[in-house]
Formats: sequence, structure tokens, C-alpha cells
Amino acid sequence: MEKILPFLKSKWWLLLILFSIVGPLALGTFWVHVATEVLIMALFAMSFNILYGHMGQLSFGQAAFFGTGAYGAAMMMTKTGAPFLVCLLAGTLVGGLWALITGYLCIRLAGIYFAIMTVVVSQSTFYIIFNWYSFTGGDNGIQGLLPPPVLQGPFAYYYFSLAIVITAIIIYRVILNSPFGLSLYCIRDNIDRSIFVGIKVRRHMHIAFVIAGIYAATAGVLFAPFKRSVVPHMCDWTTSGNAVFMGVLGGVYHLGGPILGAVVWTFLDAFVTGFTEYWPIIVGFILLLVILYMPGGILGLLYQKFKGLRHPAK
Amino acid sequence: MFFKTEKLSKAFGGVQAVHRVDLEIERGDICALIGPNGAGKTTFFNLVTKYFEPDEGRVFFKGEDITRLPPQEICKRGIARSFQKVNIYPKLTVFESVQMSLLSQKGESLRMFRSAKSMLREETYEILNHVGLIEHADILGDALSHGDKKRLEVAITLGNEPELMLMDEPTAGMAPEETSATMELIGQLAEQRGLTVFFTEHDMSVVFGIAKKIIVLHQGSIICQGKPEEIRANEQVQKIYLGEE
Repeated sequence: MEKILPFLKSKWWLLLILFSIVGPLALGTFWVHVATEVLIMALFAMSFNILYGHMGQLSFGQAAFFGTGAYGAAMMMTKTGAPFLVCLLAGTLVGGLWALITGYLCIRLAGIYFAIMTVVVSQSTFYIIFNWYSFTGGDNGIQGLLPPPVLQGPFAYYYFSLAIVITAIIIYRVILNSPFGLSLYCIRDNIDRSIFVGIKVRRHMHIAFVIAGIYAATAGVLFAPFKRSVVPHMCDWTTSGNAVFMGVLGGVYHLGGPILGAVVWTFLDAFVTGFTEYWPIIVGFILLLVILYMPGGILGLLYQKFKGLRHPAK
Repeated sequence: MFFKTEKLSKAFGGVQAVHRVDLEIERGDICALIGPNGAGKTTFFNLVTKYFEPDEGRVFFKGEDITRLPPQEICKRGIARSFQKVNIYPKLTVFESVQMSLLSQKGESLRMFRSAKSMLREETYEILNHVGLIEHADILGDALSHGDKKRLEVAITLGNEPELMLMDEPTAGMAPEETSATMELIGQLAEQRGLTVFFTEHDMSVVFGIAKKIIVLHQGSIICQGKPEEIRANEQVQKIYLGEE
């Protein structure tokens, strides 16, 4: 026992990976499907968290990049017939590029104005896709997005997503522990001070914005073949709201927050919609409880209960 | 010329906060900027570090015109500042706060694929040791006492390895014994690190205790400058400033 506890404490992530590999084997098709969605949503929530939890700017626009990523991949698949992985890569690139362009506007602002600007970006993207019928298919979206045969089964797609998400989490961790990550924390904590110690705040914010965009786009390109279709609603700001909710629910100051948020949110969604159609009311109620009683999210609460577990701000 | 301003001016609405200020500072000086509340001391610092854009006038540092440079570039050139109100990172540890200044000064702040933890450790600990915060290295900025926060403020500024350090009321809100300890520290730092220090202060005993040169600002304009003895003897200064103490 004495040896097991420290091992658990330091290597818990290894167990988590093992569990995410072995766990689904015990589940049926439906729940594996849900688990895949958890993975994709975790990526999406991480995208929000890079900006809010680590840089301190609230984004209601992550759906813009989630959607453009998904549409980029979908259009590559239907219009060019390029190999599946190339399509996914292209979608990620499109989302990242869109973040680079729109980020130029957003990072000039901070606080509530930043948040409003991200809504503007999200809604503009939505209407462009919605109205550009000849190019995007408008409100019909794009259907029939089949992954290659080897990935069509629910288990195969789950493991495919798992590999991508684990890689993304590792990169996320590396970046946040780097000098760049530390600069973002400084910007979150005190923009003014950051400027006067020589941090090029706008450049850092722009780069973080693009990284967050790429994460959202990656979630989008995984989501499109997963749902076999894309629709303009994916760019809507209510979709961004899901990322916000998952981030806040899990705990924005922790690396694992968005992941935990995605797990709880997606499973609740799948579970509750099984017996009632009033899922949004329950979401609202949970959100109320989180804001009132655990402003640090689920992880924030856990860290508070077990003080000294780790650096509280990260 | 190490540091020089020419006709530096700034007005807010109709109020001339800083009016055609010409001053020079030599390398190695410990120089105080004094004046009653609202004299324009903080605004002057804000103009030099480009917190505000000056209306007119120019700023030179080591022969270079830095008037149009953004704050980050001025910082990189070797002018760092501390603030009157505590201005630290509440959720960063003391160590990280200082380390960040060093990383930024050495142009490492955009590095993404290396762990920050192991970078510039010795340099960071050296600064923390100097200002006496080494035991609090792993505490969050938020959790420090007021005096220690002001000390951290100095440490963050030192992290930029400045040649000229602008300190806006470094002892504001400190108890008398803390004040003298802090001023002693500043004197030591200036000597050990070859710093030029330019500070504002309202406590006259502090000013005359450490400054080698004093500049008196009143309603935005310089009314006199010189050695402490000269300032003490100046009648105009006595009337508008020392008389009010």
C-alpha cells in the first residue's frame, strides 16, 4: 500500500490512458459513440480554456473555428476525394487560418469587448456559411461524410480520436509549461504589468488565439466524419456556449478541467436526453449551481478540499 | 548623455500635467523626483515608459531617441519601472513572477517547446536573494504581505536587468522601519548592479537620506534641481513644498 499510493499520485495519468484504452471494450456501441463525442468535445473545451483559463479572455467564438475546420474537411472530402487524413489536415489548416485572420481583430481588445468581438466572429462565420449556398450548401449542410472503411466502426473511430486527443493533450501541456505558457499566465493576471516587463502582449495573444483555433478546428474535423455530416449550426455562438459550459464546469484553471467538463457534460447529455427532452433546463440548473457554489469548477472544488495538491492556478 | 528629456509635455483636458520638462541624469546617479501631490511625477514616469503618449518633447536614452518606441522596446533598451500601486501577478508564484521578466528580457518568452521550470533558475534566485524574498519563492503573489508585495514589485523590475530603474514611490504604504529597510536595499542594489535609480517619493527624510540629485516638480514644471543641500537651501522649494510638510 505504501508503494501504491505515491505511484497512483504521480502516475495517475498513465492509469487514465490505460482506462481510456481498455474501458470502452466493456461498453456497448451506444456508449462508445458517446465516449468518442467526449473526446472530441474535450478538444473543443480545451480550445476555449487556452483563451479563458490561461490567457484570461472569454471567447464565445470558438465555434467559428470548430465549424470552419469541419467544413474545410467536409468540402475536401466531397469535392476533391483527397485521402482522408489529408482532408482532416486541410480542415485544421482552414480553421487555423481563419483564427489567424479573425484573431487580428479580436486581440486588439480585452475583457468584455474581446468577448463581444468573438461573438461577432462566430456569427459572421455562421451567416457566411449559411448564405453561401452554392459553395457550402447553405442550411442543407453537407452529408455523406464517410471515414475510410477501416475507421467506420465505432470502436475504430474511438481509438483514432483517442490517439489524436492524447497527442493534443500532451502538446497542450508542453506549451502551457513553456515560457510562452508562463507569458500567457502573466497576461491573464495583469496585462499592464506584462507590457512593462517587455512581453509583446498582442503577439502572444494572437499566437494563443491561433493555437486555440487549431484545437477547435481539430475537434471540428473529427466531428464531421463522426456525425457523417456538417451543418451551419456548428458555427453558431450557442455551439461556442457548449465549450464555455464544459470549461467552466470542469474548472478553467486546470489542465484537466476542460477534459473533465467534457466527460460530465457529454455523458449527462446522453443520459438525461434518454428520459426527458428538457435537457436545456437541467443544463441551466447545473450551470447555476456551478457559478454559485463552485466558481473554480469541479476540479477547483476538489483542489480546495484537498489543499496542497498542486499549484492552484494551473 | 545617459538619460535626457527635452520639453516633455502632456495635458489632460485643460490640465497641463507635465509641462516642458528638461532634465538629465548621469549613469550611476540616484536621483529623486519630488513635488506635492498632483505635481506630475507619475505622469512623467508614464511618459518616459510610454504608458501615455507625450503631446510634445523627446526622450533620449544612451544617445538614442526613444520617444516613439513602444513600452516593450523601451524595456528591452534597459529602462524598467515599478509602480506606485502594487502591480504584481496575483496568481503567479514569486519565483515565476521574477523569472518571467528575465525570460522576456532575454527574448525567450515565445519559446513553446521547452519547460520554463528549469530556465534561468540561478538568475531568478539571485534576484530573490537580493531583495530578501527567497523564502517566499513558491508563494503566490496574492498571499504576500504589503511590504513583501512592494519588494516583489522591485524584484520583477530587476528581472528586466535594467540600466535605468524608474521607481514610483517604492515605499508607499510601508511602515517606517520597512521604509528605511527598502531604501537601504535600493541603495545596495544600485551599487551592486551598477544601476541608475530615478525615484519619486513623498517622505522627505527618505529622499534626503539617499538621493544624490533631486529634481523638484511643481504643477508640471521643474522649479529647481540640484544636490540635496542646494534643494534644502532653495527658498522657493521651501515655500511651495517643504513648507507644506
